[in-house]
Amino acid sequence: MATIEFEKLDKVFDTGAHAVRSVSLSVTDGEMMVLVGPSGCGKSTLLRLAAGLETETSGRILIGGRPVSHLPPEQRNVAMVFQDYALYPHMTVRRNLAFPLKMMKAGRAQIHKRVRQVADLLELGPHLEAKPHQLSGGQRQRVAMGRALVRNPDVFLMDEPLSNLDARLRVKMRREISSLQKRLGTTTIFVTHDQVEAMTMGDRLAVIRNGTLQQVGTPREVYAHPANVFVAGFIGSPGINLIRGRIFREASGVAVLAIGSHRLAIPETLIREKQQYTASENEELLVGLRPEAFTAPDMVPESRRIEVDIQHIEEMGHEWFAYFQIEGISLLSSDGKNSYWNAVNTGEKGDKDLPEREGLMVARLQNAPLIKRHGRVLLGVKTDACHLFDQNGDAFL
Amino acid sequence: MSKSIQNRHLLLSYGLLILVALVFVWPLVFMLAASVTPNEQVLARASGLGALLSRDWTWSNYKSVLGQLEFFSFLRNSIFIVGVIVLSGLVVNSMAGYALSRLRWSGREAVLAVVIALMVIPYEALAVPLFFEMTVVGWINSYQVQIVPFIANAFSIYLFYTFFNSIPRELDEAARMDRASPLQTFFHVAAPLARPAFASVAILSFLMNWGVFLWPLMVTRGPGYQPLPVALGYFSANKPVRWGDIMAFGTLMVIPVLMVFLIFQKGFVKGIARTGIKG
Repeated sequence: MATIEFEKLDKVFDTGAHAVRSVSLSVTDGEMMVLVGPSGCGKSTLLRLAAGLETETSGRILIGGRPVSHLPPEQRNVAMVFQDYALYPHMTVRRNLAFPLKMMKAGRAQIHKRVRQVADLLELGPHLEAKPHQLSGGQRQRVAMGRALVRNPDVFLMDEPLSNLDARLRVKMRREISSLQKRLGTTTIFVTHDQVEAMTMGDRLAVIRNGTLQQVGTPREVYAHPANVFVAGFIGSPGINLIRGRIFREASGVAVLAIGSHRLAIPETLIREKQQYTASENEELLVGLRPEAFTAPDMVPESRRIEVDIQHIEEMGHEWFAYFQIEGISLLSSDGKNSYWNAVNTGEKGDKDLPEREGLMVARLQNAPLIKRHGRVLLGVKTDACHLFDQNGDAFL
Repeated sequence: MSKSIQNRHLLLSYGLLILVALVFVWPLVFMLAASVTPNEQVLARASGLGALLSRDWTWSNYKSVLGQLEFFSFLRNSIFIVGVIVLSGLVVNSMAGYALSRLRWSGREAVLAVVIALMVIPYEALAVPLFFEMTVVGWINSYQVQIVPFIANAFSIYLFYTFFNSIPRELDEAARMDRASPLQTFFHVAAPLARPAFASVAILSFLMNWGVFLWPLMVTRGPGYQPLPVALGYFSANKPVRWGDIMAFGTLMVIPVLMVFLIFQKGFVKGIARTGIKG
């Protein structure tokens, strides 16, 4: 089986676009690694580099410990599933599935056997004589999968394979691909811009922004300990509430998080973490509060409650999303597409502020019936669950 | 707009269309009619509709054409020459178009520019230098002199090039991932999807070469290798000119063109129906 390693990979296109910037990443044998990021972040380019469809400007790629940079796609023993499936429209499902084997000059009997096996595995048996245009989206998706796994490749590369399916089918195929991948144990790189897909499918995620790797980790790690405000904002739905705040010890000796004119008590650990990072008491920080960091007021001590102005409540049946404003507090944008990020990209850090954005803060609540649908109410804040970032957007621990 | 004005507009546009259609169809109709008119009466009736109204139709012109000249020998030459040009042209030009569209090689853009430039140079401008070239090679009065220079065709290459450009690149990449070589990708994936282009090029190339007169006249001596259009020329050389025979000959020459068109048009329509599929 195969590991995949990217070593300081760079890709600059002829147009001058710097799509991949010094990416180092290793995918272990049998792992499902999800590359996730907004569109145009370079994740598909990274995948195409692994496939051999693009050539890296510098750096190395190793598959199964073997450098493959000089090898054409056909010699890398990797299989790829394309976003638009790329089924051969003039061939039947059977011939589509048989095509890779035919190109390998496999024997007639072997081709027949393998096609049968794969068709059974993917429940394509009844459709073998159909042409792609006669199939539903999900069936085409499965044919594309089948064509990838029919020749037992070392590595699967999947380029947003679910993006053309409707929501319900996407959930089903997500599960099917995951369980198939686990069963076959084939090392897989899966590219998506959908963070839900990333969270649910990946053994680990690699979050990419603007060609650079932001963070690699299990879905749990990336969610619980985002490395910077971009990752914090990108992973999680509804998104994190990013605001400005300060952490200091009040005269009374209580550690507090100050957001606007509000004061919330915080655990001692947070202030110690912050002190390790900077001695400056008054330095402004970026504070991330996930929707679930809010709770009904009686769940937390009085010192951790804050008055909010509820604008709208969404009932999901098992939980409620409350959208609200806090007086004097503006949300900050972390979507990675503005002047702040340009400043970060070009290395002129710190001298620009993260821009504010329109919109409401959101809380995920289990017992919203206790809360008014409109107007001023108290919400509890689990301050131990807040994420702290410096002015450059990096998390500090 | 009131209904009567609408009707008047419709009447006017149809009247105009019919008039234009008549202008175009007239020579063809005249040829058909004259081909069954006694030789000596053709010119007399040419000025009017008399040719069409005549009752004394005769097959004698056809008999005379098929009997007097070695019509079938000329026909065989034409079919052979044009057949080889069309078939080998499909292979050569489609592969060239594919290479220009899909493969990355140094000089590709320059070659593409040359191909486009070649399309605007009239063939007559090339005839004389080409004639000298063929004389040097020693191919005068042969089949190959009428075939080889016309297999590669800039227009056909360009047509294939643009068609291959319209086939999603992902299919080529998928074939590459499936370990197909560029040649295998061409034969198994690109060419089957390019059927409409093959049909169009086959029709156009047949039409372009079937009626060629100047070149065979320059490079052939005697009926051994000559195609139909040159034979047609012989008629006007013999006085008095037998117009009935010429028209019968012309009609016989058109039949294979119609046949080829009908055969490939079917493929053409089928091919177009296929391109609507998203893989």
